[in-house]
Amino acid sequence: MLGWSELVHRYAGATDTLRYVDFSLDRGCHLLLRGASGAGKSTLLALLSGLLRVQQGELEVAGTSLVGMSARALDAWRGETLGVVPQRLHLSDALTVAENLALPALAAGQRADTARAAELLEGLQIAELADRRPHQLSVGQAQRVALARALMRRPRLLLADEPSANLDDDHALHMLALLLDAAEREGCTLVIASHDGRVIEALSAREDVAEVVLRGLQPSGQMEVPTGSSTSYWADEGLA
Amino acid sequence: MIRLAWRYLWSSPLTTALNLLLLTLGLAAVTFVLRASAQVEAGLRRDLASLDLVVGAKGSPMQIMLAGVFHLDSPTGNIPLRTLQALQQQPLVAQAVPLSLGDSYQGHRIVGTTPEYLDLYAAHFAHGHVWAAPMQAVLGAEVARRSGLAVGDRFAGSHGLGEGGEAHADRQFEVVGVLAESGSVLDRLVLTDIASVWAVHAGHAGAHETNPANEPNEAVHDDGDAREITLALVRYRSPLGAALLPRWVNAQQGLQSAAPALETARLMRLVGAGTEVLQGFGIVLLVAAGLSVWVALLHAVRARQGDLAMLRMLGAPAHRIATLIALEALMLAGMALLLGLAAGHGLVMLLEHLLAQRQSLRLGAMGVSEAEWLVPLLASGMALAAAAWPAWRAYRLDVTTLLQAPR
Repeated sequence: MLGWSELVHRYAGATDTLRYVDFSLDRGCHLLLRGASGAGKSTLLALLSGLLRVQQGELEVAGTSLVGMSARALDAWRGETLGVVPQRLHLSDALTVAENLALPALAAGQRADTARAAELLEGLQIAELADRRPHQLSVGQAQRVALARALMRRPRLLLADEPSANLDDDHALHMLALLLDAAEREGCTLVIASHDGRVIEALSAREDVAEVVLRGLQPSGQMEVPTGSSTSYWADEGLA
Repeated sequence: MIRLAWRYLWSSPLTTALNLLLLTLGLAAVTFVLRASAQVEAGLRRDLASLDLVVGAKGSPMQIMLAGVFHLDSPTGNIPLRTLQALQQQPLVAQAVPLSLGDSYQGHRIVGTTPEYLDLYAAHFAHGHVWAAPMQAVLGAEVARRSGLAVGDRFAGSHGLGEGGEAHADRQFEVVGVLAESGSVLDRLVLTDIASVWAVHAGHAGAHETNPANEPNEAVHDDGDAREITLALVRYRSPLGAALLPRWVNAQQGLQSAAPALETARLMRLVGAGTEVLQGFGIVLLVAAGLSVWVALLHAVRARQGDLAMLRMLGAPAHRIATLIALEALMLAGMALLLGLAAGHGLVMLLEHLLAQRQSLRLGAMGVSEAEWLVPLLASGMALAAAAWPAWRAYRLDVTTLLQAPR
């Protein structure tokens, strides 16, 4: 479902090379990506979402190898396969909630699926907000709208980047519950990138969540994935 | 995509409205200049018909041309009737048509002439027929519309070419025909047999040798050699006429020739200076509007880069994001184009109304001039030029950084 081997990435002009140790996620499991700033988490997320091209090694996401795919093919694949809830929600204030939900179809050059939007808003209990603008929403409501937008095209992989950042405990846990619930309902794999202790604690207790720790420039030893994964993982980042 | 561009465009309504206003003003000015100058030129050409030379009393050729062809100025004086006969006998002359001026009806000039004058403009009758005897008149379409006169009605002309002259109440004209609208000078004239003018002014012989402003010559006429006309309109039999005839006319005592084509070109050059200033003003407005749109789009891309990055994340190819920005500029230009064309044509309509009130040239505000295809080209070219750099910035967005780093 999701995995990589001998994955290496080097930014243009940089001397450091990011090396990702081989990893594979079992079907039906979710993934928690941990790591402090600069540990290579953002790069891995960009690789997973096809925003960065694979330079070396293998990377398979949702059953598709991203190696050698053209930029255009990666764009199309991303639209069809991924649902993304970014750290900042990036709901467009120029549009209503319903129109924000039409963006994924629009990005792919397709007609908006209004029935799907209504179904998701209903499922997330925010149907009455369809005609509001994002600035008229509470934090919790905005999170639900962002989640609905991510689910619009029935993604196979739901990617949430720091979903609890800047949220109080209640909102953070509520958001996490929404993500897990949505992933279960939609039958998609959830990938959460976070270094928030509350999220880590909540997910560590689940058997269906594999945890990957990116340790940055420090050489690290092999690390057992806590639960649910068929493989062990260690992360390293060092000089090429 | 179009709807999204539209919504983004109006997410800053004040900026968009200001840019729209600037663009509209620029395009309206350019449209007005193109349309008005084309219409003036077409109007002049229409009135020139196939005339090669106008012969009048010694004076300014421009004045002779304006008085004889466009009926906009006072004539320079009268010329003897025998001049017309001499012209008609010239082998280089195919046709010489006399015009006798002096009176008017409600500000419309009464022109004594021959039916050949109608043929010069290929005039058609809406009602009635050409005069068959003196004191019968044919009205131009505009004269009939404004005066309410119809075939069978009678009216008296008044002395002088402007309104308010003394009426010749004792000598009434009978309307025998009304011309169909042609857009030419005929629309605003009252045409009659040349003998009518002589009849009206019988007994006024030699009343005016010179021609003070707005107190034009009566085309005077006793009989025989003393009879006069005001102008003669000449068509050459061969191009050789252009080389020889004006020289011959100017060598005659008291005669002056004016070549309408040359004088009109001179007139257009004079008008052209004003046209160029107006056109320059329109271009300056357009450039200012283009810069304003450019700044607004750059600002919009910066303010909206998170939204645009999100669109990329949702699967939109980079070129679609760039297209979105270009669409915003094109939509703005499209709206400005419609408003600018409407405003430009509205201004031409206003000018036409003002000119019609002063019984001057006829312009057409409706329809599209040939040169007007430049306006949409200008609008879209400017929109694309203004959008190019912002669209490139949008194309090159660093999606990863924008979605992760707090703004």
